Amino acid sequence: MRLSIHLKSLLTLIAAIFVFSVVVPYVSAPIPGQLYGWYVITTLFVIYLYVSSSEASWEEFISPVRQLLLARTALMKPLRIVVFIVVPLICGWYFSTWAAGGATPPGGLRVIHPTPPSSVNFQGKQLVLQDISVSPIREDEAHLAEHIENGRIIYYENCFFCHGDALQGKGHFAQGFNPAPADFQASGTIAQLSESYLFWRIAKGGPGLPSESTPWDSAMPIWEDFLTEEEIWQVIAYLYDTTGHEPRVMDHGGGDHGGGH
Amino acid sequence: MRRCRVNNAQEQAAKRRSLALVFLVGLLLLGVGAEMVQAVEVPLPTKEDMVYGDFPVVGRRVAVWVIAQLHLMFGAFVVGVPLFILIIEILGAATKNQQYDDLAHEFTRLLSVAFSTTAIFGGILVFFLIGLYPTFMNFLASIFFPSMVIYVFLFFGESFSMYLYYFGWDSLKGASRNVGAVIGTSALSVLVLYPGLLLLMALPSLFMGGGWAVSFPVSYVLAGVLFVALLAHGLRPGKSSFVQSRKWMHICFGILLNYFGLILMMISNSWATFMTSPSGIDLDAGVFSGTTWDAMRNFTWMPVNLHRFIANIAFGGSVVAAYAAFRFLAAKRNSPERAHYDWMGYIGNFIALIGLIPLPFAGYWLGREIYGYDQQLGITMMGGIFSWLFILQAVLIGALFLGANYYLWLGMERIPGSERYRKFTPVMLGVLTVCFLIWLTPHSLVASLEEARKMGGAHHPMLGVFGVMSAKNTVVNLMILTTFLSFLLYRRGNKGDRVPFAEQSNASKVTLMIVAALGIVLMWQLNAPLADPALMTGRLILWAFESLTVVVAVALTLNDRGTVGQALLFAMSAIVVVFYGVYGYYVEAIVRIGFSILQVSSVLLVLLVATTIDIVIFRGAPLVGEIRWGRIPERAQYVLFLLATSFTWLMGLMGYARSGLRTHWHIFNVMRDYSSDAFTPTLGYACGVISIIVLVFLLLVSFIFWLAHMGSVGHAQEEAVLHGGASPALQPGGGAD
Repeated sequence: MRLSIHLKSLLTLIAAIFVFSVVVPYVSAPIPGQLYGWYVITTLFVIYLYVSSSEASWEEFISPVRQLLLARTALMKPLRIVVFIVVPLICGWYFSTWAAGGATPPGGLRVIHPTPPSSVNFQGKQLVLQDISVSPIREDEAHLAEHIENGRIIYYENCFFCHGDALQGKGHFAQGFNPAPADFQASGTIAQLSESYLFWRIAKGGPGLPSESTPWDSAMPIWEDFLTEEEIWQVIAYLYDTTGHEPRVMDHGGGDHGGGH
Repeated sequence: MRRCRVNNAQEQAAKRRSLALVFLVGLLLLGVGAEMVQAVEVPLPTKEDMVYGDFPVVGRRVAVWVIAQLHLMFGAFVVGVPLFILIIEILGAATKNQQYDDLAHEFTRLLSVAFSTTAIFGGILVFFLIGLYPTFMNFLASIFFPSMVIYVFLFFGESFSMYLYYFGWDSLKGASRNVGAVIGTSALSVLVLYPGLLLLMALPSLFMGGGWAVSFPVSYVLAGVLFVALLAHGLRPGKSSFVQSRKWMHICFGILLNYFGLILMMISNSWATFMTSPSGIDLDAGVFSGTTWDAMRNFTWMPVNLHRFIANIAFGGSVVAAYAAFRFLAAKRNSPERAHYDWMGYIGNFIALIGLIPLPFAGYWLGREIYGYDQQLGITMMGGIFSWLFILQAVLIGALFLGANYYLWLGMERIPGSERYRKFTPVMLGVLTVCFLIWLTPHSLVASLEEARKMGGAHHPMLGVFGVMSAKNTVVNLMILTTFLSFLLYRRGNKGDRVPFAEQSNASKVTLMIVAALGIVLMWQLNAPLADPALMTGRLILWAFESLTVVVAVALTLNDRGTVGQALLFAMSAIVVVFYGVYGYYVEAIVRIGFSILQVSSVLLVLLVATTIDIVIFRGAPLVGEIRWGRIPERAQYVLFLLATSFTWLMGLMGYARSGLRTHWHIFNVMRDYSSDAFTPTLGYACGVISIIVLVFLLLVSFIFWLAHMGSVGHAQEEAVLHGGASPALQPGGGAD
């Protein structure tokens, strides 16, 4: 049985909306409104491309519309009037509802990886982050296991309550925070970052975030008030060791290019 | 006779004057060249030294921004278009097809008008920069002045070669055995072949390792030998030679024009990239210490050069295609004019596609180098405030891929026999759609508090996976493969039964073997990480898998199963791309970055071998029917407008990202911006400014095209009066492929 182009288009749209609205939320979590909108608009756009990608399919698709607009039959005339009244009303209703907004606060355009400064003042000592390609404790390879073990103890004494036992950001207090504590196991957090970046975030915490894209709501404490420089490096080493991620090492180039910093 | 002698004497005098001028300019350039390698020490200006000018209403930053971007857009057009004009001209000369020659000539008309507009905006930009940022410009000029002088002279070179190229189009035809002409053409040939000579000399060192190693004195000797050989070839009595061809001389001018344009672009790129990734600065002493050349070859210079070079081709192609679309829509239905502009739009779009395919990888290299130069710059760009621009970029690039494919599918309407391939359209559209949806999914989402709580953070637990580079690289490679498949199907639209492979010429068979062998060698070069034994086994398996597929594909082609061989190649590449995309999630960042090279190299392998197989197996195949140029639905022409607008917008957006990521620095981490414009504008404001620039550019370019059109109408009328007929054009329903 050959399906008409209209039915094919409609079924495609329904299938796509079913996936976006039912399948994805069922399997994991609902898609935020903005992304959902992009997905649906893209699907509509693609359906248009499909129906108009050949003259035959376009003619088939457009002919009822042409009939609706131009035919002088007993059925089409009143139908035309109804469509011309109902469609603008639906559009108007939709856009007025959309423009009025709801009671929920608008979505935030948060910057997840804010830009680190080139250097930080740590407990009165100037540390040039740009120059720290790998953690200083990694240079002491003989004692690295010891450092990692210390890092584990520090983690459970300080970080565990929010970032959780499995390092997935699901600690006991996690539900109380927005943004939620970072999930270290995810591919998008520490796996993407260098150790010096983590040092800056841990040492300066939420209040030390840069002014760009404020306001920041991060509840991360300023750990330089509680931990030493070595302890912070140790906990960083523990995070990478336990998650199995490798810290990002900055490629400082050099060679004929004149080099970075 | 007397008048003739007078003319000769005048010509001789003019020649002497020209030679003297060339000699003087040569001396001056030598002097400036020496300055380039002369070390200087330039103190950095302090906060108190910084002086800024004011600009009414919009302020100094927006004034410079708008003019610089417009200059760059026109510059991109006049640097990108000559390259494909040249290719089309060479194609016309090689196939002796006058239509290609006419098309190239028509493109040149657009070029000459756009050229002066570029220069005007360049002039305005210099005045604005000097007036609004005098201290900063003074500092830059103190470092780069020798390169600026060279720039000016090269600009002369570009102007003259362009006018010679444009105005010499009709006169430089046929052959000339005149000794002077042969000497001139030989010298020109050596000039244009010299970079190729350097490349040949560098190739062994590149393959053996150790980077570029070229001995310049040896290259001069080789160039001299080449000159003598060409001269001897051209002056053989009674024998014809390409050195006698005036068309070749014309092509040489075209190549020179391209060289000049490219070097000009590279010089000005060095000024801009120095601002992002300065080299030779001693921050403690507060000075720049080094030569101009040191400052020029800064960290991001070459990546920007490559990225802009490729982007210019894509941009130029799309703008020319949009011009053709406009002319198509303005022409009468079923007229030869409409057929001609349909063909022109197709060629423009084809060139844009050729540029678009490698563009993401050049951009990726640039991004990587920016990250490599400075973590701050990298994170500002991809993870920080500028990351949202990349989402806009993703949407526009996705639209480009969809639009380009859609145009090809609509183009099949004019190809009899293409109905056989219609059934693949929904499948290809489906693949493109899934890829597009993944391509535009951001890593961190804009979400309300309630939505974020449901997701458990700013990342969606499932869709967040699509936000990282592994997913993006995978889908962009799949989109490229699909676009290539669309093109192959388009290409074979009107081809009938294939000629048995055994009946193909030996040259075709040998070419196929050479290309396959070249592909295997290239894969070895790109895939083998000899330095890291831990990766060796995996890479060897990959290389063996790719090579085996190529061998099987060639064997199938030999047995008249070429299309199956092509399908195998596509499947191999898709497997490699998806495998490394998924595997990328399980390895650290530094290894993951290497995977992108493996993915793209497998795609390039398919492009290379599958195209060759296609050419070989459809060589001499009977045609189902001629392509009916002009018989494409009108909506296809609006796609060409969409492509040109998207490219222009992308240039504006990404140009802003490249420049803006310095945030409050004139020269990153070296010279601070102390003006009232030091803040980074909001994304909405920036996008507004960029959109206005795009609109102004499109309006100006429309005006220029209208001027070119007026000129062509006048010219055609003159021709008609002189020759009593209209200029030749493509006939609807027939013509070139």
